[in-house]
Formats: sequence, C-alpha cells, structure tokens
Amino acid sequence: MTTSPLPVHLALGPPAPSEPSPSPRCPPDAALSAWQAALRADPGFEVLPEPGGVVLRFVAPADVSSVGPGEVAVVDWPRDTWNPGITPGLRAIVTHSALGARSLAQAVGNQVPVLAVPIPEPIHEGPAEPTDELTFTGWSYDSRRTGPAPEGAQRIELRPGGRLITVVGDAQDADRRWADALFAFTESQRDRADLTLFVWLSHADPRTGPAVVADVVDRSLPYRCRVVVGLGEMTAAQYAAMLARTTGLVAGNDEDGGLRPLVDAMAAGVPAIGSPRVFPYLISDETGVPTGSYDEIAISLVADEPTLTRMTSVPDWPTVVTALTWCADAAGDALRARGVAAADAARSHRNPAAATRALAALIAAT
Amino acid sequence: MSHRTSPIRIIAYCPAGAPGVAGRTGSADYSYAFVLERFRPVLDTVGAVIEVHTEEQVRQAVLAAPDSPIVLSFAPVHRTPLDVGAPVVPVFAWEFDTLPRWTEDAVTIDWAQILSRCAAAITLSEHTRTVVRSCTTTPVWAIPAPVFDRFHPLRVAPTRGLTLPVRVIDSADLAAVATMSEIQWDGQPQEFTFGAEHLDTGRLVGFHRAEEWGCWSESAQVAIVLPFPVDGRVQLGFDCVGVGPNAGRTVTVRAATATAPLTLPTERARVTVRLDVAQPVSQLTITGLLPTRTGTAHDLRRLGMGLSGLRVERSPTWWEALRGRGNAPGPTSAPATQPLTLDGVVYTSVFNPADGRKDWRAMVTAFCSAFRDEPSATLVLKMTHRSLAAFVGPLLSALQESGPLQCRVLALHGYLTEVQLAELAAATDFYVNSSTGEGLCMPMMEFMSLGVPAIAPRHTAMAEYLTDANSLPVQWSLYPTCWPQDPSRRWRTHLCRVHWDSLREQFQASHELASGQPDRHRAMREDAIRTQREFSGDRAVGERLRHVMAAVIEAGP
Repeated sequence: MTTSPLPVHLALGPPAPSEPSPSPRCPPDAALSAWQAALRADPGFEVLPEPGGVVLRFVAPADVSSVGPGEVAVVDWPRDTWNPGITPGLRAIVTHSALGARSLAQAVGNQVPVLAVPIPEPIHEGPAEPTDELTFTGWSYDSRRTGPAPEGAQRIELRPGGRLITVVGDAQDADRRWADALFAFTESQRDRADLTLFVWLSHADPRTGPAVVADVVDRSLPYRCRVVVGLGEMTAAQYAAMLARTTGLVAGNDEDGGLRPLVDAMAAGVPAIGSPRVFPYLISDETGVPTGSYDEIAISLVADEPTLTRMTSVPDWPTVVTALTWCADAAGDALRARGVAAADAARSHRNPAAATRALAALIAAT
Repeated sequence: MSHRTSPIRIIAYCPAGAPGVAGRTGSADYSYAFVLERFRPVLDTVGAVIEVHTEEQVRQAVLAAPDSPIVLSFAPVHRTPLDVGAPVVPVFAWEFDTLPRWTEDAVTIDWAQILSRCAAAITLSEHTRTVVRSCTTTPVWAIPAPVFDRFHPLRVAPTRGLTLPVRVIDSADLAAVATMSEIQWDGQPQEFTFGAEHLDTGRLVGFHRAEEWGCWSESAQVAIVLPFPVDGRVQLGFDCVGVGPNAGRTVTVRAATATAPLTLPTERARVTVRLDVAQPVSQLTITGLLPTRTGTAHDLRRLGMGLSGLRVERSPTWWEALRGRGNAPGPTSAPATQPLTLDGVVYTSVFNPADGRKDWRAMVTAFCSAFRDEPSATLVLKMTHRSLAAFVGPLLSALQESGPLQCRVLALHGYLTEVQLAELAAATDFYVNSSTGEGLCMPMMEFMSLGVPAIAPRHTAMAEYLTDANSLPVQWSLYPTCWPQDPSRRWRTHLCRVHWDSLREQFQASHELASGQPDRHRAMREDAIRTQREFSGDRAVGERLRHVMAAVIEAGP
C-alpha cells in the first residue's frame, strides 16, 4: 500500500515582518534551503511552491510569536529561557540543537511540542585533497607579515607550512570566544615556529572587523608561532581545501546553533576541539579533543527588554591550552584515527533522511 | 650575630594614610591603610613603631632614630621608598602570577628590580611569595595580616536584627532609591560625565557597557540616580543623541510626578528641559525610548539614546531667587541609622565595588538565579566605596534584569566600625567571595574569625586558609589578562575566573546545608575560627615578624 506524500510549504520569516531579523547569528534562510532539499528528496513529502499543506515557517527567535496557528515554527533557538509568547494553536516548534530545544521547552512549557533535529544537510563528498595554499577574498592579519595590512578586500593566499590548527569563530560574538583559542595558542606554542593558527571569522563587518581583530592580537606577547586571522568570503572549494589542510578545528562559538562549521570540519575528517557540554553527541575522546566549559548567565538577545535568561558557555581556558598542545604534538596516526571517527560521527549526526523522518513523525503526532 | 639591647626601631610607612576616612574609602591602595592598622598591635610587641605617611617623613624618621631602624613599607612595591638610609622591607599583596614590569613615557615600573634593592620583603600570602621568589633573590617571607585577635573577641550571639548607619538599597523596595540622599547639594550647577573611566557612569540604569564617548541606552525606560534629591524648579541639560527611530523622537523625562518632553537630537548635542518637582527625588527616569538594532547586521545591541553628560541646576523663579531659595542647601548627606531585619539564610560579602576583580555582578546574578523563587535567602553586599556611583547603576540594572525575585538583595553603603561589622557577621550564615584574585581578602578572614564559613574559590591567597571544613569551594580556572594599570594592556599574566554555574550551585548547596544540616554548619563555623586563629592570630604573626626583623638586622645595612 502506498500513501500519498505529505504536502508542506516552507516559508521564510514572519507573515508580516515588522523589522529586520534581530538575530542574524542564526540566519533562517540557510536552514530553509537545507530543509527544502531534504524534503524534496524524501518521497514522503511534497513541497508546495505556494502556501498549502503544513506550513513550516523559518523564523528568527524574536519572531516565533508571529507564527500562525496550525503552522510549524522552525527556529535556531539560543540557550534562552525567555518566553516568546506563542500563538494559540501553534502546531510545533523545530529547532536544530538539543540545548536549544531544552531551553525552548523550559520557556514555553508543555504548550507546544518541541523537536530537536540537526539541520538536514547531506554530507556530499569526502575530504578534499590537501594543498599547500589557502585562499580567500577579504582581509587578513598575519603575524609574519611586515608592514601594514592592505586596505580593502584582497585575494589572500597563504602557505602555512607545518601543522595548521583552525578556529572558526563569529566576529559578532561579543565575548570573543575565538580569542580564547588564539591566546591559548600563542601562550602554549609560543616557540613553535612550525605551527600556524588560522582564525576564520564569519559574520565579519569589513569596516569594523579589522579593528576587532587588532584589539585582540595587539594584546598577545611576541611569539614565533604564526597566527593568521581571516575575514571575508571563501568559496566552498576554498573552504574544503582549508579543512583538508587542517590538523584540528576549534569550535570558536559559545552557541551550538546549527553546529554547521563543526560538523563540516568533522565530516572532512578533522578532529574537533571543543566542549562536549556545548556539542553533545559530537565531541569525545574518539572524535577529537574535549575541552572543559561552564555556563554563565547572559542578557537575552531576543527579549524586548534586557533579561537575564540566556545561558552562555564559557571555555575552561586551561583545557583549551591542553587540547591545542595535544593537537600540536600528537602523532599523525592518532590524529588520523580521530579524524576517521569524527567523520563517522558527523555523518551519523547530520542525516537528512533521519531528519525528515523525525519531522514526519512530529506532524503525524500533532 | 649582632646584639641590640634597645628595641627594634620600626618606621611603618603607609602613603595611604590612616583608615576610617570615609571620603577616601575605595580609593587606590586604600586597603594598605587597613593592612597597617591590623599589623600595628603586633608590630608594637616586636619593636618601637613610628608611623609615617610620606617619603620625606621616612627620611626624617631615619635620621632621628638613635640606632639603625627598619622601614616597613605598606604600599604597592612601586611606591616603596628606596635609598632612605635604612633597610627597607616592603609589605605587600599581589594576586597575579607574574610581577609587573613595563615602561611608559620613559618611566619603568619593575617590581623585581625594586625588590632586589630591598633588604627583604614580606608578602601577605604564600601565593605572592612564590611569585616573588621566581623573580628575585631578595629574602621574602609570607606573613598574613593579623586579623583573628582583633575580631574574634567582638563575636556576639547570632541575631537577625541590626541597626547600622548605612544607606540601604533593598531589592524588596527599589522605589526607595528614588529619594536616596548621598551628598549635600548647595544648589550650584552640577555636571555629570558618562563614559568609560568616569565614575558617574555607575549612576546609569538600563544602559549598555560604557564606551569612551558615553553610553547607549538598552531599555525602553532608563534611569539616572543622582547623588542628591532635587526639588523645585530644576533645569536639566542632557548631552544626548537619538539613534534610528529615536532620532528626533520626543521621550519623557520624569522626576517623581513631574514630567517634561525631551526631543532627542540626530547628532549629539545638549538639550535642556525644565521640571517643577513637587517633592524631593534623586532618580530621573526617561521613558518612551524605542530600543532598536542600528540597521547594520554587525551590532546585535538594541539602542535608544546615547548619553554622555548631564548638567543639573536650579531654575529658580524670580521670587525664589529674590529669597535665595535657588542656592538653598540640599538635605543632609549623613546616612540615617537603619534598622534591618535579615531573614532566612543570610549571605554577606564586603568589597570595593569599583574593583573589577571582585566580579560582584556574577555573585548577584548567581544568587538571583539560584533563589529566584526562594524567599528565605538574603544577600547582603557591604559596599566599601565613598560613592554610590560605584555600584548603584550596575546593581539596579542586574536586579531589574533578574526579573521578579522572591529572594532579597541588600546593598549597604556607609562606614561600619569593627563592632558593627561583627554585628553583621552575627547575622550572617555564609561569607561569599567571587573574586578573580585576592592578595589576602581580610574581610573574609575577619568574618571567619567571627565564626562565618565561606563560599569562595580556593585560589591565590584564599587557598591558604580555605578548606573543606570551613568553606564550600567554587570552581575556577586561569584566564589570560593584563596587569592592572599596564598601559600596553598586553596579556602577560592570569586571573582566576570563577565558574558562574559552580557559584550558583554552591549557593543552593549552602542553603540546604544551613537549613537542614545545623550540626555541619556549626562545625564549619567552629573550623573557620580555628583556622583563622592558627593562620592570622597575633602569636603566629608576631613570631614570624620577629624572625624577619632578626634576619634583616643580621644581614646588616
């Protein structure tokens, strides 16, 4: 017996947006694209181009309250227990992390089912061939460069040499967690001229980004290891080449969000350096180098009035130092073994078929 | 070995002066006055002590001494008087893991180099001694300030009722802040400057972290807590700007029931409003702001108005001016004696709120988070600073952000004698410390001497007297930072960052302990006393001081 596909429509943003999304850190359009591809590939769903069927509305956290009755809200919820006030009859909320789902459930109680499922992006290909050169377009700080950095966006070519450790961070992160890794590297690997730390900052404002970077790197003491901080644009191929060249990747965000940079790196066989508390199910002694962390309360980013309802994860800095040192000193075999386990964990985590099955079950239950 | 029959001459130098001057409380290096005050009775048993406060007085005292004196310098190392004709022994605290060394404007600050020119050094903790020994061969001894015998005799029976000469900010009655009086106002125009490095910034409630130029509002309603009440016809000059939809928007300035419109300019400018205030009020509120993201995708903050300054002056009518009311003095500034009743499990902390190392916002937020729905928990913050501006804005902001609270937070502002501190300790179940580093933490030692166990991280000097028997540990970890006052702001040392969730957990655990395990709590109280008797009792400190003095005399000039 065959069942007819479930009609769904994917909509971006609130029905009538009143102002720009207040949470660009979790762009809902990226999640929509991933879901659209996964649902189209699943014969159990029919994606309607016009409103109809079950509406999945992809919104920023502050806009959850605008999602209408009968609709499913899809949101990258931060670790915030602020109650957004949901529309009566809202069918369900889907979010992309377990920690976010836990906070959301705490915020809205049992008014509406909450489903945590990773963004259903397939992992396409294996790791790219390692190359000596990293390229991107934008701005860079390089501790080996003499003279001032050129102004404006440039094509940047780097030849790191030696072992490369990468940090993918968020330039908008007010707490600058990526800087924790940078200081841990320059302090612990000060005399290792054969090591390079590459800090790739997403969401960087080209006007203010260099100043943000300078404020951090100027506080470092002199060191022989190399630090490169990059802001700008990387093509998918350039990004894949960067991951292929990377020995270990530090998750430089304190939000778990959609985990995209971390899962991308692990899928490419890069051992992950980060806190299992922030990245449950992903980082372990087998898949990378776990670090310690603790929680701190912070101002909510989504409430109208500032409220202390958001939890942020703070790296236990000495454990970052230890992890980077392990990554710098580990034998190649040990790194490769963790890279293989990391790739397995990433594939298992980000499984589009599993995500669409979970969504189907949610819709059926509601 | 040299033989002296006359008493050892000790010149005790302390540039911070004598403690107890309320107007200087919280100023830089002020705690050294307390350190000397604690040492003084023990020093008097070791030798003949002359107390001086300037380098010139040191030199005069050395010249006047009948035989070779020893100079004890109670000050940061870079303020040690050198080449004064007598052996100099700095007595100091330092909570970081490296000693400061920097050059600015051709002047070098180098503690190791200064210490190498001293006969010996006394650090207040083994932690500091270890750091010093890694940098210099100068003999160094660790001797804590003698606290126990000064405070333990003041111990009184546990009480919940107190009468203290303090101003009180009470989370259960925040409206009272609106009529608080801190200083006298003689009616002359008063200017307030807001921005990083300006103390007045602490008077702002509902603003983002200060920037160099001023502060951006965060909430739809913000407030400014003046140090004095205003009444009558008052003229207020706001140096302000509106951002986004707030540019050109008219918001409302309110003082009690008096209101006036304030139109926010599109570029920073002074805008003057006049109010006719019927009853004295020290809190100005501004309502009607529209917190908005600035439009760029790179600043997550919601902003309303920018504020960099405020001018407050009387605006007397011709009739009031004729009668001189325009210059009438404001209410008295002396804090009234306050009866206080503390309920439930009582937590107390004593600190300088302007000292960023105390991280007291973490303490307040962890407490509020732990006891949001618990009416039987009270946190008492004894603020050691001359001005309310050092904490009133951040405290009110933290309390407002925490939302409705069943627990209670009290900030006490005013000078307390040792007897009054002992009364406060008698009402306290736990002393709390959330600091990122301590050179000694005398207030906690004082409370322990009075039988109060602690909730604190066991790092820096605190690790030397906190144990499982007398305290609940708060987890911490090292984090890179710069030395205070280092102009380069390079990260050359570490602080000890307290884990907020661990602090919150220990608040909850301690509440259960105090409420449900009275025997264990009593044992912790007794062990706190025992520990401090051994650690900071006069006998132990006196013996060590005599040993140092003998060694310095033995070494000769």
